[in-house]
Amino acid sequence: MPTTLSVPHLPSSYRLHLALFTSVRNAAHLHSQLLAKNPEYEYAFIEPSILVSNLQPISAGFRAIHDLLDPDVGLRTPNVHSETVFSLSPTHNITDSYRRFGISPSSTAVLAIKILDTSLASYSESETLERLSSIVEGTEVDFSTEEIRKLTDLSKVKKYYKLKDLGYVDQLYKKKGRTIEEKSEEEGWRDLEVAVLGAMALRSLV
Amino acid sequence: MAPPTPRLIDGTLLKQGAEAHVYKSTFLLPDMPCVIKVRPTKPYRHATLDMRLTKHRCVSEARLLNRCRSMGVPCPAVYFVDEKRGEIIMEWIEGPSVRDFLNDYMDGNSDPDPNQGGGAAGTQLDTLMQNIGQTIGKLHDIDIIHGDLTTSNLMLRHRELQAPAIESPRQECQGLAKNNISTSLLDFDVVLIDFGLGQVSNSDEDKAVDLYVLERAFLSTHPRATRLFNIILDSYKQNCLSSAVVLRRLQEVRLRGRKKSMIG
Amino acid sequence: MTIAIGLEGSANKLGVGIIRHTPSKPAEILSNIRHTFVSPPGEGFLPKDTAIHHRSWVVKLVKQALKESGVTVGDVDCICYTKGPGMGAPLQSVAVAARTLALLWDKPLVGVNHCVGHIEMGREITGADNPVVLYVSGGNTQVIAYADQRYRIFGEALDIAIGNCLDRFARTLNISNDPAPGYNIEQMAKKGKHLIDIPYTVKGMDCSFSGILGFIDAYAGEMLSGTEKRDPDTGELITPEDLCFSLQETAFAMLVEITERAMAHVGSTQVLIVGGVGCNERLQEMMGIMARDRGGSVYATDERFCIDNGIMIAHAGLLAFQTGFTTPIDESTCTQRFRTDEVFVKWRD
Repeated sequence: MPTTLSVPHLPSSYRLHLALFTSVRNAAHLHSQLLAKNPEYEYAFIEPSILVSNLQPISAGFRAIHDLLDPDVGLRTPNVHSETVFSLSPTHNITDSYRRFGISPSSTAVLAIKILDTSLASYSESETLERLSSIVEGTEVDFSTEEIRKLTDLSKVKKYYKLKDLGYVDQLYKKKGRTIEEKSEEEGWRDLEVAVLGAMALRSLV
Repeated sequence: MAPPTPRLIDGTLLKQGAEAHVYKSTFLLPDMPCVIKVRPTKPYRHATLDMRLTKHRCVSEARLLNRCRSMGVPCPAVYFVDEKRGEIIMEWIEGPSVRDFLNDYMDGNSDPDPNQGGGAAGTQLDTLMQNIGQTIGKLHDIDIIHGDLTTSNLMLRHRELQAPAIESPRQECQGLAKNNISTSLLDFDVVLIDFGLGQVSNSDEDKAVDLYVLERAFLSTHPRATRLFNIILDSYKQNCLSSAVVLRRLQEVRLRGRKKSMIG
Repeated sequence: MTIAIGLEGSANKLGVGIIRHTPSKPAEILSNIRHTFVSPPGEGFLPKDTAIHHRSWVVKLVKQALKESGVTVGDVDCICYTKGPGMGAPLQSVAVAARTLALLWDKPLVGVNHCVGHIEMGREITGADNPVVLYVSGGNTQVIAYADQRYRIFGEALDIAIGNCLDRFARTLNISNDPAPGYNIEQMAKKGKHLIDIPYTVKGMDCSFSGILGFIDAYAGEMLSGTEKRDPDTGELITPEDLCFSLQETAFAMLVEITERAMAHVGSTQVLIVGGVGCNERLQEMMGIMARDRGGSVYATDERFCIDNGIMIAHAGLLAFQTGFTTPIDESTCTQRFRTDEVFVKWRD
């Protein structure tokens, strides 16, 4: 079942519909439809190996809707869905952001997001969810941090988000021969997650 | 009809500080607490200067927080920045400020004089001071100057209690000073907040001034706690890699502050 | 009922004042006169010349003050003088005069901290009960709040004082020292309109002015040597008036900011501005806007009390005298360095 969310601070009619898929078979097709700008395929198709938690894509969606609605900001890309993919990026390079954070023809897992203003007359929740569940051919799994972390490619995340300094102080002290309390696995994920969210938030300041 | 616009500022106003208004709200999920820090315009200053300062401080604070947090110095994570409006959404830090904690402690504890040390509670208090020195040492080891070190800008966060539900009251921490000090204080991390006046710098002078600002704020806010401040400095000395030169410099900064020339 | 005569000469103003305290009544200013040593444009006042000025005027001023006040030597209870801080030679010349009067008239001496003099006079005149005090002069920049029998310094300029910064900038621009360089900068600033980008240095409740001075001095130097400077938005020429305006707007914003931070820190809504720079109406206006935003108000005095004067020394000295404090003749020294927080304020709760 896809997840539907409205996000604090945004008009409550704006909803994110998210569905996570593994064993995806039609990535190449989805990718080609995006390139062809087929309006039937206006979704944010995200490569989940660059995700570290469920907050990361929600934050990207928040940013995209925020920028769409804020008259002082506006979108940098064609629509709120491409903007969601771009919002995952820590840099201003739009093409790079699609390539790194969006689906590729060889993707085997996909996070699909549909953002809609549910106050519009044309909106139908059941149709939206049905289409979201069927557009990607694969196995739908829970949109949860637990499932996402099974798919995470840590080296890619660290490279794309330029996180080589993560935990720098502890490394520095270790080098000087001090004993450093090891962090738990959960703390490690949490540090990674906020570092990624921070890098995304600071995109506009780069 | 104009489309509805996002509204960042909502939630409960927690603090109307000299520079910023701080709200408690939620981010992304209804149960994910956050802090929204807003820098309102200051009508007393020239509009151009005001815009320059507001934007500069917002951007600079967001960058510093992000740098600290990812390099391993405890501080709030940045979630969202609107630099034009001078707004930052950041991670909620549950816990009392060191200032409130010390004041509660002084008021509520007839037991040990903070300057005497000793006793279980006294030892715990010493540990807290050591943590402060260590945290500031870390900050300086990544070449960040806080710029406004006061006990109000040091928070105590429970290690296990990092992301409580939004409704969770702060009582647990507030009661801490008076009651279970001997069992609880060791479970708390010292977290730095409010980097609005911070900067990146590796200069000994800047680090020394940072400590001098803390010293003056600490001793004017907690005049009876000289001994405790010295524990902070001792711990800084032991932990911070460049502490020797910085502390030497601190001596000079103190003298300069206290013995300024009057000659016009 | 007690009467004190106060002698002040820590910088280039020599002041003599006579005050009367009557229990549960406001203090009465019986006389308050001043003579200022004015140096030529482009020059500061040197300690030696200032001391000569004070020595040659002190007798005249004391006589005139007594005459104006209508009190006789017999009515005077104590002689108050500025113990410090200030410039050595001028302080000494006034301390010698005070000692001489004490021996001549057989009256007790009271050594007074100059800064505490400003604060107490400001409180008396304005009625501000327990304000955060911004003390701004040629030698001092301090944010002060009272706690536990002391005036505690919460913030200050880490290098040069704001007044010193203004005075030295006036010298660079060859602005007249008559009546005061800061006054003339203030008048010129009223005609300025372009704000140039000047370093803004606030560290917690402290601030720094040497960077500002270095920057604006260099900027003015380039202008004086013929380099045209233009406002990037309008393309209009930057004038010396614009420099004065920019300097004031930037430096005063720093002062208001550190004061506001101290007010938030101690939870006060009153602010009192004292010291020579405190006469500046733009500073008072900015401080007023800030204080109103915090639901409070600003208290300031006019040039009779803001600028160094004898009456504040008489007033603060008399407050101490009434608690039994006197300065024995053989301890009646003066000192260039005398921190505001060294004084034990016995007369307040």
